[in-house]
Amino acid sequence: MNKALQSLYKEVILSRAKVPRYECKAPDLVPTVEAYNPLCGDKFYLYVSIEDGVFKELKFSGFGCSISKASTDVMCDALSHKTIQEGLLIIDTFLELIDDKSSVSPEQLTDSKELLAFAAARDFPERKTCANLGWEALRLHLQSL
Amino acid sequence: MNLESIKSQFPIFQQKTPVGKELVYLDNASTTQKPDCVIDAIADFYKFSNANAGRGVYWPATEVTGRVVDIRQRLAKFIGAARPEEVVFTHGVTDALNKLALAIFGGSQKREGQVLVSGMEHHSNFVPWQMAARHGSLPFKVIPLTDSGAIDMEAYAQLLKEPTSLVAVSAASNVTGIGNDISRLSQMAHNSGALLVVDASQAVAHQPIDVRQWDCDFMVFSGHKAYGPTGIGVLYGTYEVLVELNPLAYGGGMVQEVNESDTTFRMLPHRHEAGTLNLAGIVGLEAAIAFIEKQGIANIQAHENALYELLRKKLNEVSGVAILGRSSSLQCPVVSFTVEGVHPHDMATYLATEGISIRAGHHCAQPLMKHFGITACSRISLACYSSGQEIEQTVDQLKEAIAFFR
Ligand SMILES: Cc1ncc(COP(=O)(O)O)c(C=O)c1O
Repeated sequence: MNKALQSLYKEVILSRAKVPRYECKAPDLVPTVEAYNPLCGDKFYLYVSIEDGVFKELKFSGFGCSISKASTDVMCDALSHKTIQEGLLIIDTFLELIDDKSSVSPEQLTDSKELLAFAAARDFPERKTCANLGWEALRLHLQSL
Repeated sequence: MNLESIKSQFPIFQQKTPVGKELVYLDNASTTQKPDCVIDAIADFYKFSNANAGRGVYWPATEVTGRVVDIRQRLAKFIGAARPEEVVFTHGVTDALNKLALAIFGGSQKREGQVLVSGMEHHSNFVPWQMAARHGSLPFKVIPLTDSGAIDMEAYAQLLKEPTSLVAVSAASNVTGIGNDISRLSQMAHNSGALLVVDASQAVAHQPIDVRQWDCDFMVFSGHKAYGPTGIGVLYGTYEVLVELNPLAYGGGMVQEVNESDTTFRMLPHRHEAGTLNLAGIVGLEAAIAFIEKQGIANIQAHENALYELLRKKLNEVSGVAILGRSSSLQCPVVSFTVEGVHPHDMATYLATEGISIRAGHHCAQPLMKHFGITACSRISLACYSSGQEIEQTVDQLKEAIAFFR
């Protein structure tokens, strides 16, 4: 197996995809957001509770590849207990971090190990829509609030 | 068939992938690679004889016009059509099916009866009919599939008891490779007074096409899935149907006379060919057909069938691999599968870094994915240049990928 692949599938990503912390099994809850990639059919439902402008709880269910699943899981982690404003900033940071067109290095953007794990997505632009699946969907939702 | 000699005719294989590997190209159901003869024919056309067809009285226009006539003839023979006017050039299958759906259901002829498509159709042989039926306020129904992924003929017969205007089916599925008994589907459709449209996208590079034996009313294919260029395709229609059919599009080249109050249209095939044709594409398509005929479609079929069997056998040996559908007697060399615990996209990325191109996703066949109760799968599809060694290598890497992701 080659290096690029190893850098894409970092331990954080593989372990998060295998044992996500924020995944819930088809609950009776009504999803807040549907994150759907029409190109591959992957779909996650996000369940987001916000109280007084602060993310109280984030969970997800659905179906996706290691990258999309791990990134959604990491997103739930990163946004928990943040304000919506802080959340939006984190989302922007993450989206730039995986953007192969960005001139800013991932390390300049954040020192979060969990987020940086996805930086190699820059070398796999065809997997960007996996890495940003949950993030883009949640951003759209927050902007519409 | 000499595999080495065939492969050497495809320049893309003469280089390494960006990760320094040999390209193992196994996404032929999406598009095939192009041999030198096709690439050269296109370049030569632009270099030595470019002009518009059917318009100028000067050389090279006269030469091009003559070539289009000859190529149409050759294509008619290739698909078993009775007359060259039954061959209409399009930009590909999607283009042809959209125009056809509009011409059939949006034209002056009022159509009655439901529209049927099979559950294995590619979106481009599904959505245009669904939308056309909606606009015409006609029922749209999907012919169910059996558990093995084939068209359920009993259910089809049952559906045909209702008045039916049109049935659209593929010659073979782009996901399971399962081939359909078109003659039988056609006979049943015709007994109910319905038109039969055949999407031969997947069959064209792998099986002989004989529209008269199929007895279909329409048949479409894209050049790029048969070693030809993108942007060119063929729509076949029987003379009787094409001559009555509303033009597929309006514009230059297809009109007889234009007046403020009305316009009359030219004879077939020009009636359906508005605008400048993709001439380089037509020339490239001819070279592709010549390439196939030179290898011999029967030889290609025998080679690919053997590889297909090997691929199925090898995949079945891998634990956790589930192949979609059972193979059919008219099988195309396509195998789709799921791998327990490994998402198709992760699998495809893993293999890509080894220079192996397989496809992951729903393959533009979401109704079929739903039939199998999945959202995505991996797909390996073969061509005349595929080899047993490539299959062994791919299955070996697939096992490594499983170990990595599980
Ligand atoms: C069965 C089938 N039908 C239709 C199409 C659409 O062909 P094109 O993209 O050339 O228009 C494809 C190819 O993707 C196909 O496999």
